[in-house]
Amino acid sequence: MNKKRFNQLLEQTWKSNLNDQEKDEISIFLEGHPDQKALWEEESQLNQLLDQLPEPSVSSHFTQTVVNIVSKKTSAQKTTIFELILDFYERLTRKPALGFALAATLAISGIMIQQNRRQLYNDRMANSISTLSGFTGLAKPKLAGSSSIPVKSNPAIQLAENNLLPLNNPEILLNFETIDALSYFPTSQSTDLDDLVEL
Amino acid sequence: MTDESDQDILLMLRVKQGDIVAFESLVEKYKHPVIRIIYRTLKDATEAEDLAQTVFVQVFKSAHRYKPASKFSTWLFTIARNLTLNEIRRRSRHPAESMDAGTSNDEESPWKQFEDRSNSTPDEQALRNELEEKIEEALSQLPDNQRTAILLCRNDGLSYEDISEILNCSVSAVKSLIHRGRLVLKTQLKPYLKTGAWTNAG
Repeated sequence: MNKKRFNQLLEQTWKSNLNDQEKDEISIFLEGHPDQKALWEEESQLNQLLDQLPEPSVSSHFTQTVVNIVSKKTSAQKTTIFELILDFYERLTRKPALGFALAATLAISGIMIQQNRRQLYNDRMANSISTLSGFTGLAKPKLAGSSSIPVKSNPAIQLAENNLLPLNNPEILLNFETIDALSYFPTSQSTDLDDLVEL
Repeated sequence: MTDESDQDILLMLRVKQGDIVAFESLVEKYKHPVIRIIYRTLKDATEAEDLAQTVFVQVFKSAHRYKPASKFSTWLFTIARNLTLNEIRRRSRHPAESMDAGTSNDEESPWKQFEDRSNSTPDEQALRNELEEKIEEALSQLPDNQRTAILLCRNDGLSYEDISEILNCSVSAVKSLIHRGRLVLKTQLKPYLKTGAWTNAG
């Protein structure tokens, strides 16, 4: 056994006790190196002191207390929308690719919903105007500034322009669609005209 | 990894799925080492137990972040150390709140567990108590990382690699910490180590 092996075993005692064979190795080494004996004894005694440190006691219900806390937290968890959102956000932050995909899906869905709504609006407008055009023998309404509105691309509006009822006809008020449609027809230039232009 | 750590990993994977029984097994297994390492730093058994509870609750809450690549004990002790350091920092900011710290050092403290030394003479018992106080005092005076490294190594049998992970330093730094810490302890406890009287006291 050389000094290197001695130091190795000394370091080993920092962690655990030596086995009998290793102890014998040390005894033989110390017989030939009495100068190392003091160091060895100090290290051994310090180890014994560390081993004999009193343990802080643990209350008997420690585990049960922890389990109860955790169980309560688990049952209370995710009960609020806020916590659900937070949890969801936390998951997203851990997976940026998933977050990006979700954001893209949301954006595309938003655009599609918006387009669908606009299409529905257009269809509703066209239907309302068609309903109005069913009334015959009525004077053509005067739509102030309507000539300047580029609505000719929509045949329903063109039809309505030729056959629109006067607004003072009480029969019109029985049909909600008609009322609704009329509300979009300005009698003068206003911001509502912008909607028609987009048609 | 050892079978024991494999078992811990399996339990932890079950905890990740919300298995309370698996969690209970881990708490039961590690409550003593966790409370001990916190107690050596805080010097208050009640606070050590409270903080240990927080550590285990944190383990459960963070279970989804646990990666089986690392040993559970390493991960657990890292959480324990971080929360202990937070507590020390909190105490330094609010010193009045830690006024009750140290009461556990009283001999009357119900939290301190002593071995059955009914066979010891009063003199031997007195010497042992004195030694325990001295070594606890010497340990408490060590820098936190030296104390933690020594205790994790000697009392909990963690490898240098595991300790280096917990202390966030290199393996050679861990050895250096232990070496320097032990040197200080030996210097402070020299009178007791030299007599060797305590070795026969138990």
